[in-house]
Amino acid sequence: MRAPRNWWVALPVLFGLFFVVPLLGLVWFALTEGDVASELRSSATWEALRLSVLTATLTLVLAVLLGTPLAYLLAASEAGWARLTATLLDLPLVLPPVVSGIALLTVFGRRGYLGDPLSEAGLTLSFTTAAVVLAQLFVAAPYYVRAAYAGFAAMDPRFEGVAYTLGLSRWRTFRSVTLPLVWPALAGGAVLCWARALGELGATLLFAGSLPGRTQTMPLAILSAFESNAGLAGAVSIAVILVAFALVLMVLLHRASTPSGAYR
Amino acid sequence: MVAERPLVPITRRRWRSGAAGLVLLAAVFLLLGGCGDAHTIRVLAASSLQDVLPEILDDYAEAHPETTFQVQFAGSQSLATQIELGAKADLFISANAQQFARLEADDLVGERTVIATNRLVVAVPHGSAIERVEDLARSGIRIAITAPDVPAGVLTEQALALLDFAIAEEIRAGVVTEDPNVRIALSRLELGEVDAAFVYLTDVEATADLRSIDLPSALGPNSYVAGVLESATADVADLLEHFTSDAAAGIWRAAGFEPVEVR
Repeated sequence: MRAPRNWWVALPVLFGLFFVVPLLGLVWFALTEGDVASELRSSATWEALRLSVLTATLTLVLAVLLGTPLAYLLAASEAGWARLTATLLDLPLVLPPVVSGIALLTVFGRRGYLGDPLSEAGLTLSFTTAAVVLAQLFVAAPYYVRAAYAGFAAMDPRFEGVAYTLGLSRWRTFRSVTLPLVWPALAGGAVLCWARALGELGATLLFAGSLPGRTQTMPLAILSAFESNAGLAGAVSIAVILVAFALVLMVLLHRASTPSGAYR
Repeated sequence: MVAERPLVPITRRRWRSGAAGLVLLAAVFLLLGGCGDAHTIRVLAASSLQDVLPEILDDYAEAHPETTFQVQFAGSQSLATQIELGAKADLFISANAQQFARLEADDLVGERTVIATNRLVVAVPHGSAIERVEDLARSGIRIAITAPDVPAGVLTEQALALLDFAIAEEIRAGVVTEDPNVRIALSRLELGEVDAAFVYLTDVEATADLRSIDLPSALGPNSYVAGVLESATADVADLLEHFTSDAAAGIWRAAGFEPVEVR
């Protein structure tokens, strides 16, 4: 028998299976050992899911509103500080999220540099839903900024130059020339950012705590279930609900972010 | 830049890398497999025993110099899960009787022995104005407790139920987080993010700058239960007895645990 010419295809297929099989294993484990149905009926699960979606979406909105101008600025600038800032923005990707949580506490915590004067003014951040968003923003926004930065940096600046010579305003140029060119990068970064925010655990736990209805997002509910008597089975049951939900939303997001509307 | 390889005959190079591979493999097996010999006792213990257990084991080893220990600490829940998934060890010490019962139901562990108990208290910083449990009811006090279905959380609920209803409600209103375990609740106190935390007496004893406030005396203790695992290869009967011996009692007490009176 002759080896098929495209033998190398086995490699990416195997790599694909490396991701798919454990996920199927998780689902199988939850269906056989866990009790997904009872978790679906539990209002606590829905409360955690609602909070997760709300906070991850707020995080994404903030990341896009604040991150897009930052990425544009960094990509447009040739200065050393811009490179340095871009590098610093990658750091939260390396930090274990628990460490990010401690870093946030040193600033916004009750004894933090900003948290102390803020709490004097009667405003506390830690243990609030706002703290969940800040934790997610710190951990997840770099994914968006990184992607947007790469998109802006790869764009040929002559396109914008031509638009200016044709008399287009800065805003009009950005909207009709720049944005369509970098759209795939921005959309990809947005999906990454939203997904990372949805899965955020460590920084949220440290900075925002874990209180059902206020700060307990899905990952925290999963951790809580794991440490409780529900144990592994309980944790996995909640986890597959999160996975199923995220899968549906990711497919929708991918569709929405592909300009032609086709799912490729 | 291309690094030049040293001019070593291919066969020797192969031999070298082969030998290196073998050494590495052997090291990995040694580390993973530990040892099967009867003088090594493999213990899986609840993480709250991290400070006290090594002391007791050292004490035991003085009388039994041939014995060595391999101890792994983790949450009782994680350990029970690992055992269910096939982790091999001789002795399991759980801080959570329900996790122990889970393994009993699957015949993964033998008879249970209570080796010590621990008490739930309210931990506050040394300088705190909080003197009694009732002081927690004041407004603006931030409190960390553990989730209602971990042992410490169950005890917290029981403690609150023993208090005056109105006061208990005020205390509940001050709860800002229901943490997955006691360590996290404790770390919030150390970070200054909360004013008080419902943790074990032993946690307070092990942490500088904290003092404990007693909860109603009607509140029961949390028991540490030990049992021989089904996968055991070493004889641990002696060690189990040592845990409840007079010699160990002093060590338990010094760390804030209550030793178990035997016979």
